[in-house]
Amino acid sequence: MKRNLGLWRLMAFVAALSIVFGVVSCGTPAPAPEPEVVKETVVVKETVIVEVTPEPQEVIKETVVVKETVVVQATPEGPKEPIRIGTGQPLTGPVAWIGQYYNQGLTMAAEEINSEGGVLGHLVQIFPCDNEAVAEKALTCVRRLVDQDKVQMIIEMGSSSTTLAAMPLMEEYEVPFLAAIVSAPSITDNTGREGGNIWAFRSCAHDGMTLDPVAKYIIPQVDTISLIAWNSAAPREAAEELKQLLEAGGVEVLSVDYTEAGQADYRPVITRIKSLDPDGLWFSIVARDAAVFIRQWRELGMSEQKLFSGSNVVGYEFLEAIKDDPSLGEGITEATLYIPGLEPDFEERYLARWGTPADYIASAAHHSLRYVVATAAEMAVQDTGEVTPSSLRDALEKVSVEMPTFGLIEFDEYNQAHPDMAVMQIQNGEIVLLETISTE
Amino acid sequence: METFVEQLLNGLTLGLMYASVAVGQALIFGVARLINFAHGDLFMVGAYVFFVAYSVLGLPYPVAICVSAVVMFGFGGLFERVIVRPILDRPWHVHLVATLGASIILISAFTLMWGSTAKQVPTSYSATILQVAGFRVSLQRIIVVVVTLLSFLALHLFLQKTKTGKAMKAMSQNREACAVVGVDVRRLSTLTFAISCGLLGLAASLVSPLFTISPTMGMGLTFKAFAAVIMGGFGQVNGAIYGAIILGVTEALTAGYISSAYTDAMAFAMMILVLLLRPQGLLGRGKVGI
Amino acid sequence: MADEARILEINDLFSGYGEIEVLKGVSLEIENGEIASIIGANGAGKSTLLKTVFGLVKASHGSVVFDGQDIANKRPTDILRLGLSYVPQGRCNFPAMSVNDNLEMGAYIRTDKEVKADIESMFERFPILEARKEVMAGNMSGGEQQILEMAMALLLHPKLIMIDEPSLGLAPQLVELVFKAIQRINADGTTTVMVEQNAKKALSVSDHGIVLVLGQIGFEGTGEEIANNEEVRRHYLGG
Repeated sequence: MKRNLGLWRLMAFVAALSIVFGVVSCGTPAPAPEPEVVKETVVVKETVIVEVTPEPQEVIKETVVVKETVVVQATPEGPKEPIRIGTGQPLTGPVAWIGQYYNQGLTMAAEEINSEGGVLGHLVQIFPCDNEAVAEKALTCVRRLVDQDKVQMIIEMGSSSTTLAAMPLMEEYEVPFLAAIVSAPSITDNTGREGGNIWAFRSCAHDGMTLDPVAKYIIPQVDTISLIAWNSAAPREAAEELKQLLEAGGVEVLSVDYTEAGQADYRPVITRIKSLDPDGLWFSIVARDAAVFIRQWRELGMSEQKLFSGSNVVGYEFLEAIKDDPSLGEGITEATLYIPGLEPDFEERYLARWGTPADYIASAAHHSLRYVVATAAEMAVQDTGEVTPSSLRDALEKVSVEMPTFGLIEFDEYNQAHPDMAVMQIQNGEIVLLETISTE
Repeated sequence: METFVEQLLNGLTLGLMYASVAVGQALIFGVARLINFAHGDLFMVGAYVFFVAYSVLGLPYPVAICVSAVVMFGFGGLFERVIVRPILDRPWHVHLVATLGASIILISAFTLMWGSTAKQVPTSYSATILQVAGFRVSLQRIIVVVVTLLSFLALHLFLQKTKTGKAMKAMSQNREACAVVGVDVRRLSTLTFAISCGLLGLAASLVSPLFTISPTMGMGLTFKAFAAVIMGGFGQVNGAIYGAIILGVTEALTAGYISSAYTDAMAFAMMILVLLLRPQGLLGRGKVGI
Repeated sequence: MADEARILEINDLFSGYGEIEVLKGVSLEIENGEIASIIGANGAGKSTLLKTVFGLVKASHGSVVFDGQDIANKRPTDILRLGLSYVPQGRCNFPAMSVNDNLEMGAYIRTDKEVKADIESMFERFPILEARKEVMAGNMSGGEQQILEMAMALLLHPKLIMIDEPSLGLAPQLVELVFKAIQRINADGTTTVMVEQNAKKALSVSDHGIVLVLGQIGFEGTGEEIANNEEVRRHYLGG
């Protein structure tokens, strides 16, 4: 009897565990909504189901009226098919916050499009899939999104390594893919019209494009420099590339270090850099860790060095993290793609919707759907009367759209867009725009 | 040379942080013969309790530390009663599944409650930089080192001098004999979890102002602390402290002289090296004992 | 008042481990003040009998009356408090603690102030321990450890002490030392029940001999009777 009781307890425990697992870790919307259900938009991880504001409801009613008219006019056309968009993101694990920003941006874009009546009447539905930033899970996500959720397009895979892993499979499935934040140059090595993967596009600039202006900006200011990058595919590539560019420009690179995400103690690395005494430091550490890094940097008395950052340290998240002592961030300069403060309207809406300030990821996610994909979908409907993976792909190739902050988005023969970059600096706890540079 | 000494000190403080998690793990293993794979996550819980006490409720720092330690003492006891007690007499693989499961539940629950975005809780001490023997160090870091060492001393005295502490040592050496002399094995196991978690609450409140708080912060710590426990000789509280310090110093020297990309690899290589030289661990006698 | 003479009465006791039944209806009585030896082949249930009485193994049927109270299936802590101590087979001390600390652990359930004085009196009783006061228990010889364990049990001033295999694995001269100590304990007024492999030796110091056969009482009598019983001699005393 006693043994059995123990067994029951264990089983109850395992059952409870699997329930929690099911609810939390996978974070996908319960069964995919039926195509006819147009009110619901998205479920992102544990965040709320999107509420329908009075306006969109009215809009929907209008559409329905139109539709009824259509039916009366004897065109036996059902309600318009929604546009189903998938995204693979790390929603659990150490970099889950990337997926959180990303899905918030995407969700907001879908809400905005739908509240305006959708893309020519087609509402947008988002299907997130948790890939935990792991390559194998990224493949599972692609299969699930295409086979089960029947998406017509996938936006983003959350990180360069998962993107590189998933691209061949998406090509095999013939589903168009848009990279909107990942920055490893190798992603566009094999894409484009000249015999490459024609299904993959990238709307953000890659490090190969952005590093050249960064190096040109740094070179006149320092003779020696140390580099620190987050130990992940894209930042590593960036650090190595930047090292070559800087050395070619006559700057001596004294050290290159890689740190793990979420690393707590940077003192040993900083102690070593201190003994090397460089003129400048370039660090590409995600904003949340960068705040810890900069505290320890200042703790060790480092004040002489010019600070250049990557990974969008110069942004609201970082400022928020050092708000107890804004002088910690003084003088950090970054050439980046997203310019906080230039889009107060979007930033305000984002803050109101999610309670956290927008960052580069959120803005890139929002804009990529709101402007690039929505425009492509509109073109697809106009050209072919429907949104299919191939009509979307063909439209993406021809897209030419002005995107706030990022400038004109058009895809070149490698399916790569060329957004603008800005050089920004933290001054007195504020972000100041120094200049704008082109990545052409 | 000066840099080397500074790197040693860096490693020592890092090691002390690992040690504050490892001592509890060693204590629990000694008394309950269970490897708690949720231990780092309990550290995370302590950090959030501190965050609530200090940042949300706005309590003074010393009070917030005590709140976190006391709340975690209770939470540790509760954790033992709910998760550990039902499976205490079952084999090790059941322990593994139960505590790993608890770890996942804790991480998920805290992600639900607080989101995955990291929180910062700097105190005024973290911005106060002192010059100590030529080294620049924040007052917060000094507080971490001093209070952590004091807590270890208190734990040591507790185990050496008090009746309950001796009973815990006794449990780690011979469980059957404990039952024979009338020790309430279950009550002691609850108390062990409570004390270990109380220490975690204390450590988390000390360390959090230097770093960030996030639901996944504990995962790496669990395994670092576990490595320290293995190095120290299973269940040896003092051994775990030495193991943790060796780990911290190895990491600091690796980051300081090779590259910080290899810190984890070198730390675990060091563990393997220690085990090759002393398979029973630093202080192990080939048997378990606190 | 016949009961007063009997400190322990076991009636039709059944117990075992899970599905396996080891004791199959054991009934026996232990007189106040005697030394009783339980002997028998391996697997006859000798150790299980002691463990069941002490509450470490669950009794499925039957009663155990100690000093007028039914203690069947009570917790060991409660049984200790009633005055029944138990020294299990094999090493039952805390090897990495000093002899002194071990004795303190022996008195774990006591909360009175006399513990220190009692430990001192144990040192007088067993001078061999006094010399080893600060030595780790695990560093002592087997015989010394056995005596330490008995001293630990005696610190609770038990009315009855049950000792499982006191001479197991000891060198012959140490066996002598341990049996002397047991007789001493008994002479000081503690009823003693032991389980012994060394049956001849045990019976020679016992008032009461019990032979367990496959979980039941096979023979019973005075130590001398059992030692001289032909059948017992053939099967259990090696001819």
